[in-house]
Amino acid sequence: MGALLQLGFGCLFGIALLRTGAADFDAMVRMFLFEEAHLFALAGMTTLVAAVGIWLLLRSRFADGVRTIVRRVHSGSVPGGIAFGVGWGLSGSCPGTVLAQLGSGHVIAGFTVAGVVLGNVLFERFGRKLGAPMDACS
Amino acid sequence: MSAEFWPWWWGGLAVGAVATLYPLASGRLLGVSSLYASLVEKKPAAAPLSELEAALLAETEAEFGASSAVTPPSRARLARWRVESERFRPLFLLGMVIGPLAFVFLEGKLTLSLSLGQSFDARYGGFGVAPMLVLLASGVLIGFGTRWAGGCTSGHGISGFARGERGSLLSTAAFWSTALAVTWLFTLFGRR
Repeated sequence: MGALLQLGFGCLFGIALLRTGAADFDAMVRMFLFEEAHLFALAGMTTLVAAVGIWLLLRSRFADGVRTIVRRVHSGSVPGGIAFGVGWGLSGSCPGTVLAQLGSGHVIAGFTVAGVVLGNVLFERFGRKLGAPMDACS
Repeated sequence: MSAEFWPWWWGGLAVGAVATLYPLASGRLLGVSSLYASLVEKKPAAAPLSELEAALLAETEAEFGASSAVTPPSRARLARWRVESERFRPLFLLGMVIGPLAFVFLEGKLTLSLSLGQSFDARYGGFGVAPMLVLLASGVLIGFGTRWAGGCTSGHGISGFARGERGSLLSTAAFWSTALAVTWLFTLFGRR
């Protein structure tokens, strides 16, 4: 059941990112060039729904044992964000949407996926020394 | 064209609902970059159960028995699934590929493409070595950067942002403004 839940939620999240245009390169460019409000509105609506939803969830009895982490400002908050931002701007992908791109037939996104995995391997090897908190990643 | 996409309000409900409900199944807030971490880390990030979870499980088993024929209440069942799902976290990443694949296939719209879209072709001049290398390098920056920042668009941008976490607000501002600047740089130099 645990495996099915992870797989199932992954499927739902991937389909949602695909069909909302969050994984669409052209839509990302239109957003950043302020040509279209769609992805801004989507991000706003998502944040609103998640803010209310997660707030309610964590106060419900069903969430006993759900772990939350405090996301403090740390030395990697800005440089890590900038490195990610460069990659996002160049490829139109974040770690999640790139998988939806690949799944929807954009085979070339496989290069980005390979890069993300490689970046993670490099972080395990060299990034720990940069002082990023071990448990802050979620 | 954006007409093919779900409207923003319905899409926001869908993405927000997944982010809200995922912790019930996995015991953690949604964050994709940490799932990559679970893929490459030598030791799983959080193999030990939280004490609360373990206590809840023990209590449940004491009350109903580990293999009770009586269906335990939904809370206890959920807690058990959460414990089970911990080691299957990489399957979420697989789901993010096969979900869209199945969806597009069932729509009858599956076409394999070596491009990411019109803007992508306009920017990098169609398929070739250059876009492949750009994407690979971008991926490395994305992978390394999200781990360094401690989150990505989902962990910081949705889960952390929605809870008003300072580190998430700062990281989200950093990666949004940087990606915006990169996009505008291409435009300023005549590429889309």
